[in-house]
Amino acid sequence: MNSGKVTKNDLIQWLRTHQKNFLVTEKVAHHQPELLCDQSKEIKNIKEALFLPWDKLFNYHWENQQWNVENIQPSASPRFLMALPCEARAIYEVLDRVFLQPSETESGYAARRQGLKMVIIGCINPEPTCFCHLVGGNPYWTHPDALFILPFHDEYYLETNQSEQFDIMKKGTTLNKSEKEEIEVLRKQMKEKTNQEKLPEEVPQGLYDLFEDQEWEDLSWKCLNCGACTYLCPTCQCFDMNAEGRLKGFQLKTWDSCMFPKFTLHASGHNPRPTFKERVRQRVLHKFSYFPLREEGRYGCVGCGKCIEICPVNWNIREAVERMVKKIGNRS
Amino acid sequence: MAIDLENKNIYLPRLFRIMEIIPETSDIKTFRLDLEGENSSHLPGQFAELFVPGVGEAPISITSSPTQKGILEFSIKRTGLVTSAIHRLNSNDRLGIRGPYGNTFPISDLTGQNLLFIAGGIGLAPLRSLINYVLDTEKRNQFKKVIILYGARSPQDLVFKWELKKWQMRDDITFLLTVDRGDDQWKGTVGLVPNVLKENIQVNPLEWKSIICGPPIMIKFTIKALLEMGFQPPDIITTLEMRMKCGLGKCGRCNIGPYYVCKDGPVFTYQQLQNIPEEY
Repeated sequence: MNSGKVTKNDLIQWLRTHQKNFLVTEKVAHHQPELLCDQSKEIKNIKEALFLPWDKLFNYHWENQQWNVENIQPSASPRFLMALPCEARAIYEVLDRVFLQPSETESGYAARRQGLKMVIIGCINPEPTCFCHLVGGNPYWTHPDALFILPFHDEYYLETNQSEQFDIMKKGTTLNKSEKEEIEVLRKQMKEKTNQEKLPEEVPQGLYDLFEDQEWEDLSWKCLNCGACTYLCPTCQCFDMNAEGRLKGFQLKTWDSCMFPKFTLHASGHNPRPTFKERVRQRVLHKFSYFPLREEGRYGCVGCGKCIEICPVNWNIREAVERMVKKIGNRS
Repeated sequence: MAIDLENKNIYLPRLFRIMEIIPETSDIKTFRLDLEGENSSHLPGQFAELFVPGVGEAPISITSSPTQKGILEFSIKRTGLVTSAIHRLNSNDRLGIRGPYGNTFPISDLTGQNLLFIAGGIGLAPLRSLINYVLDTEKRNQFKKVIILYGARSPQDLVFKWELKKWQMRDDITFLLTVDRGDDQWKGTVGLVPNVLKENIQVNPLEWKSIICGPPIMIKFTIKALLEMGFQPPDIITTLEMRMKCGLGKCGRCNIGPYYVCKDGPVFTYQQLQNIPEEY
């Protein structure tokens, strides 16, 4: 791992040089406004960079008395994406696992992902709605392929395994021994603290066993099923596909939400998740039980707290999970 | 995670010509597609996404057996937007296909076994793929005794009548046909599938595997009857239906517990179903 530190001026200069190719999440813009440049693009939700809200999959048209379909070759120019550790984990731990699965790789996602250089900004002021520590993250989480930036005294600490991808590393000066130790101590303390608070390992199976519990009814009472949480969630990856255009058009992939009754409605009229209770339970269990049971314990939630921030009726997924977790092992 | 950039567009359908449309009932038609000299790579139990340009996609089980070379068959009940659009198509029109998707009937577990097929209504479509696979001249000796019990609401609701006759004439299988309600012409058995099963089929349940498909209510009572007869949950095999879009375990709607029905199913044993939420 290569590391170093740069001055604020050097970092801003580097960001300005690349600003046209920079995507910055709303969370970073809010936490670290000084890192925003005029021409960088602010995105509400990290998944927008890879899993597009609207994505054309192929074209079709009627010609010479028959249908024709044409592939759309995905294209993507290299870009930087600046995000907080929680948001970055949504890509590495969840979205990549869904869309880059071998033999079923989604070509559009893969093309965009290939060109994406991740810049992860260490989180220095977590908000009351955050809970990354419960789901295996921490405010200094990073990935070796990404450029990790942490405000450090009046400068910035940098770290990456891919120095050739991030030319700012050339400007970096080496940390002296005490500075190195300081970073290590910060990290170690954070890791110890967050590991202590992590949800116990038995949670995914424990919640699964509580599928029939009465509490779900009560938990779902307040929810409007508006789906805002799923649209702003960085890990929610459910989507819909529809043909747009009658004789000439395209197959369109759009974000969808398990909060909507039509999501699971059969053509026959039968609906396996007919009421708020089943749909709220689905959102919680998919992230905290089903996904981890499938993906070696990784949660389908990164604890960014976005859904709690924006919920019009203050429905709180963390409270819901903690309420159910308390019941694990207490069943009569 | 490594990024595979060589992959093709997993959502792109391929268009195939409809060779023949066989009317089955007032709202069911079978569509035979010409694979232009290729053979289908599917195994019994799998399904495909059928695409009508300008309308959309629908997941439909493949009713032809892979032993039928050069073609694919789908039996489709007119139910929603896409299936209605498919019903409006004519011979020589082109239909988009992508797949095959899903797991298959556990053919290796079924090899060397006695097989009891039980189907209700259009539920015969997915089973027919396996039945014709088992009855294929080259495969038949890999399986022991075969019993097929097929029922529908009325004689008009029976599908594949043209093929049922062939099965009836075979002497290496037992074929039982029943309808819930007969009519003036009907000379055969009248009765609900689970009742006919209990009254007419005497087998040692420990030496048989049962494969069932039909409307949810029929599956429910047939499983009950099989359990009463002494069948063990791992020996009862059925398929689930869910609303699906991608067919690849990504779009999320067919998720039940840790499974995606489109990818880990649609074929499940009753033992597996006992361990997942009844959210289907």
